Amino acid sequence: MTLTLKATAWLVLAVAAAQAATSSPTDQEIAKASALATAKPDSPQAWERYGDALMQKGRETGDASYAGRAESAYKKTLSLNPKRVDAMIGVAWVLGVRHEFEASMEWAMKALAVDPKSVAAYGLMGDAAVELGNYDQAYEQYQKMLDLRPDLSSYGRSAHLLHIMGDTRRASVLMQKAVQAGSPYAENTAWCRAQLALILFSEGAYMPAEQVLEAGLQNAPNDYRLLAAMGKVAAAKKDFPRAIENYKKSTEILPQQETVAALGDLYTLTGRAEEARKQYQMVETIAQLNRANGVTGDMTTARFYADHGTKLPEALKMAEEEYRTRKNVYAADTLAWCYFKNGNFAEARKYIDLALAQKTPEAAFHFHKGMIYAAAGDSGTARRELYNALSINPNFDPLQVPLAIKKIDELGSNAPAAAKPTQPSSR
Amino acid sequence: MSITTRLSTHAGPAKSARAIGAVLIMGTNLMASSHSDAPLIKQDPQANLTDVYAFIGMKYDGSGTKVLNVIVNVRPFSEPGDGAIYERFADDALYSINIANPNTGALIATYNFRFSPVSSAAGTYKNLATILSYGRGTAIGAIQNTNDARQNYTQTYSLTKVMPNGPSTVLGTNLLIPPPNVGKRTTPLYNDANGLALSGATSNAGLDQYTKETINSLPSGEGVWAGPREDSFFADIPGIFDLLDPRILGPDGHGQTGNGFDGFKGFNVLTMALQIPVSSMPQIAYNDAFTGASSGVGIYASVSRQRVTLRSTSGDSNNSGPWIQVNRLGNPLFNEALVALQDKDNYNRDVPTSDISKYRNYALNPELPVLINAVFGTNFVTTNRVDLVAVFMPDVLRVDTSTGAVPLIGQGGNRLSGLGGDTTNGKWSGWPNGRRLGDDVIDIALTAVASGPSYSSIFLLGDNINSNDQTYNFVFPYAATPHAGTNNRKDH
Repeated sequence: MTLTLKATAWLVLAVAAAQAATSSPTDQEIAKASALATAKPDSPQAWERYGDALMQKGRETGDASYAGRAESAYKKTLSLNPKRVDAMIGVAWVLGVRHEFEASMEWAMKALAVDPKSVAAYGLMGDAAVELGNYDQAYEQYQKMLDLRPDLSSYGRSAHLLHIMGDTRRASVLMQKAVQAGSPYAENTAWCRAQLALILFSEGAYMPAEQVLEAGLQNAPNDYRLLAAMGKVAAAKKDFPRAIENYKKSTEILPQQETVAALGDLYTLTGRAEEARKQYQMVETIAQLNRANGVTGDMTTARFYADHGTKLPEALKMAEEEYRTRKNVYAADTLAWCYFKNGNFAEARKYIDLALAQKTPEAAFHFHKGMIYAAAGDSGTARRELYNALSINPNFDPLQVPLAIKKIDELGSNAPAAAKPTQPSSR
Repeated sequence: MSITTRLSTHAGPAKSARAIGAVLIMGTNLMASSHSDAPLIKQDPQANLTDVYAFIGMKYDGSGTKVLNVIVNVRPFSEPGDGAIYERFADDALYSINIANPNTGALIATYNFRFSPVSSAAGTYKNLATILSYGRGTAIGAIQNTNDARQNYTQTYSLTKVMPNGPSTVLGTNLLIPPPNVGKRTTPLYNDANGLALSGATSNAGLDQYTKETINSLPSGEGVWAGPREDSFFADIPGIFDLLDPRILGPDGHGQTGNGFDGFKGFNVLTMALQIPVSSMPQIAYNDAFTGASSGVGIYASVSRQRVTLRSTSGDSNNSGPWIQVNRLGNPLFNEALVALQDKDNYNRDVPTSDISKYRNYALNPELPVLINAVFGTNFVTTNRVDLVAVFMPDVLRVDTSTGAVPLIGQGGNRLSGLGGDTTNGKWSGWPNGRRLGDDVIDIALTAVASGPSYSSIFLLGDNINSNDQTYNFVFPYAATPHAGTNNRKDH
């Protein structure tokens, strides 16, 4: 009996080793962890490790089914030992991926009740707080994380938060620190580089962004985030063929809605209507897939509809629903944009002001504010906001930028209305 | 207005003074562009040049003539509420826009502005029996046109073109300066319904009446305008140094609010703007710091006052001597960020032809990266900075005049110029190839200091202020409509 078990374990390990020779560190880790869990099915640690490996694979492939498999592994651990902190964190992580942020927080708090120094639990609490728009709380959680363990995870998260709060200078310095701190998985560093490039992009610093992405792609040539960011920068530099190439590569690895939509827009701008239509169709298909996989929230789809002027009432419904559970600045911006597109300028104004309450340096927010205020008749604010959008990031979106420039032109070609003299003129 | 509010409106400059203080810890008077450079000149705001801009565009009148726009600002931190009393050009100063050889700094031509008297004894007041300069002249009420019966005082100026050791030609006289933006009741045409200055005109017809009617097209081909404008500079100097603050990882510093403080927000300046036909200038070959072989001119501004002989034998000791230069400005940040204290006043007195012999070392082996390295543990290159020499030496704003019109910020231009991939005919669209309104010279300069001389890994440095608080106009004279005295962007 003992012999058989040993033999099985050996066999599994041998298979794992064979796979390891040709596969990525993540695949190797999955094989090892899976072998371990098979060999020691009563080991809570083994199932945790297997769950973590599956979550990493999910990050790299964007395949939501990995989260489901990871969840099973974590639950297995908890059935063996309900006090396992890492498994609780694992469940919190899975829930976060599914956008169930409040439930994610609950599990992270359970983990903290057992281990008040769990770095990852603070990280997930902070992540949920960012998504829910509770930025003060996010600061607190990330600070605890930084104090306990300054590393890629804590630097990277904090940088992202600083960016939302409008402190781009410190955000990019922290993100550079995250890249330097490094990680065993190339994907993790690539995430940081892609984020850093997007921070630089949001400031119109296209050349430095490009350099960061080139460095990242040397280490992780097939990272869909780096490729998508490179597409964005190339589009901003008006190099559409290169942008299309990068977007295409990115979506072939993992079709994210934003990237698929951006690719469609470039096809539209280069007169390839049929290919554009296919991409736009794909955006909606992905939305359906996400819903089927239990991912809640449809902000990206709502934004897509609003940007393209289609299915506007549906978009508004989606954005309203999203904002009910996620009151972050991006959700507020999308909701404002959907209200504007549906002709409700009063509500649009309310939510765009909320979106900009943290002074997040997103050109699109200012563009939306400009368009909303122009429609509401406040041309002074409209001109300043549109100008602001275009000074922060002059090519933030190849489809929307021409609209911003056109609106400035419309607003600025009429002289201010003359006020009547307060006294009779004797001129 | 109560005394309390008067004091509070002056809190702005005091805050900026604190900003300077924070930078002084660094040992460098790194003040934004030339807003408060040498200690002597600070007390003489009318002669204090703050910024020089030069960029290729088209003549405002739609004639299709390619021009070099040159915009020069003086009198920093003009409080909009004081505009009615103080916002005038000095009548005893000579303001010059100089066209120079981009390699040597030698003069090619100079445009001189002279302004009419400001005192009530000599000035052109319509009515000396009122307390108002604006809103009551021979009639009471809102000013509808520059120099109408309700504008009591109107300053005028003349423009003269002088060739070095050559002829001097008067190009225009009695050119009108529009009124300051007193507020929505006195100068309503500057402002929107809320009484806030309205800027961002995209066509000549879209400009306010006062500005539009004071633009002059001279028989010699130039376009010219002078008057009060919003301060086009934007910067948060302490924010720059806060960025690498070690507190960033400590329990106290993490929650800082972010977002810089624009020390220039809500203030006005006095502006001179020229459109010079490119065809009227030589195109001289030079090497651009980033794009190599180029052709064009160098631009700098200067202010001079007349020498006064104390022991005069003629009895006429006032305003009779030769002009003595008291201030000059070419590239942003050179005198402020690179020249040491001992030489700041000397720099103001000197001409660009002596820059290479006297000030080259400040660019070649700059102190700024030494300080940053010492305080923040960075490793920026401090010696043999040939890239900075190419930008700053001699200190004239080199602009390639062979390109087409450059895109403006807000119409496709990128505030980071070439660092943002913004080029025109292969040349950077903005500074250091000339300079546009909205070019973020703080970010460009600090990034260059941190990334040069190789630029193989561009380290983006700067403040958190990326745009001006007011929209520039997109047509000549480009600079933004001045803030209103009664309601301005400091209040919002």
